[in-house]
Amino acid sequence: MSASDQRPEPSAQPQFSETQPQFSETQPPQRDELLAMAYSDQQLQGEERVQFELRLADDCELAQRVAEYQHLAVMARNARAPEPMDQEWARLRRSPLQQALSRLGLWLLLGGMLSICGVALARLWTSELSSGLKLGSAAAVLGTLLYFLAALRARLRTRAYDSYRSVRR
Amino acid sequence: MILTTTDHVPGREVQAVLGLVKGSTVRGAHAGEDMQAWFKNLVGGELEEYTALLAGAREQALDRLVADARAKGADAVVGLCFSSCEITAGAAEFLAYGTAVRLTPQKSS
Repeated sequence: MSASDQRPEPSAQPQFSETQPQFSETQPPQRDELLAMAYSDQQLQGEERVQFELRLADDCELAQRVAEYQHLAVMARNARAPEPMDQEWARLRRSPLQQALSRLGLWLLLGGMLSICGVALARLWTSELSSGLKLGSAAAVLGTLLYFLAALRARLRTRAYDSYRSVRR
Repeated sequence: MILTTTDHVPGREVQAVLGLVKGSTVRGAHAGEDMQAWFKNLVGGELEEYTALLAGAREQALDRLVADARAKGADAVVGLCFSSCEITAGAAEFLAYGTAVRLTPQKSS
């Protein structure tokens, strides 16, 4: 019997509360929490599922809770004995020398790339090129930056709901 | 939900075939992971970043397949297959597909 089979099933006629759900680690699970568990296990059917999904669209805390349960389910599915190499990787990641090498390398690389981009832009701006070309170049750089920021913002906003980031193999 | 790559489930009979079910996803590694993998590729060994990328894609595709099967009222997916291809550099597309069925206990003859 799986863990999900042991969870209490929500009744056929849900009484959805309009207030914010109150989740607590120490209190017995409330109805919203039971619904979140059932939804994560894909046990909600029909109208009950539709109603819950409508609430998910507006309720950030509830969506977060569902994501946490989905994350747990994925982790449980992937739980297995670590390989010897996993332990060595973990040891290496904790090693101050390894951390220093990685971080220093990353920051030097990022800093160098930003410097090169900055110098190139400054050269372009002070060059003899026509102002139309300069404005076009500036617009292209700005557009790329804005596009990247939009993608980054979307990723950061949805990252918490992505249950598949910690799957290792 | 029983997931099996075989066409039959021992001890059960297929009561109804509910049709094709599938789940797919395309997941990408971020630039930092790509860079780490590139350096590891120079010296050999497992590219953990891409192992994890593929594993995450596989699990997500499988979850979507299960959701699809549940929506059809199935209690098993038989003939389960995985398919993977590279849709863009540094990303993994994973497709899981199979046949959703409803099972009953096998009648003893």
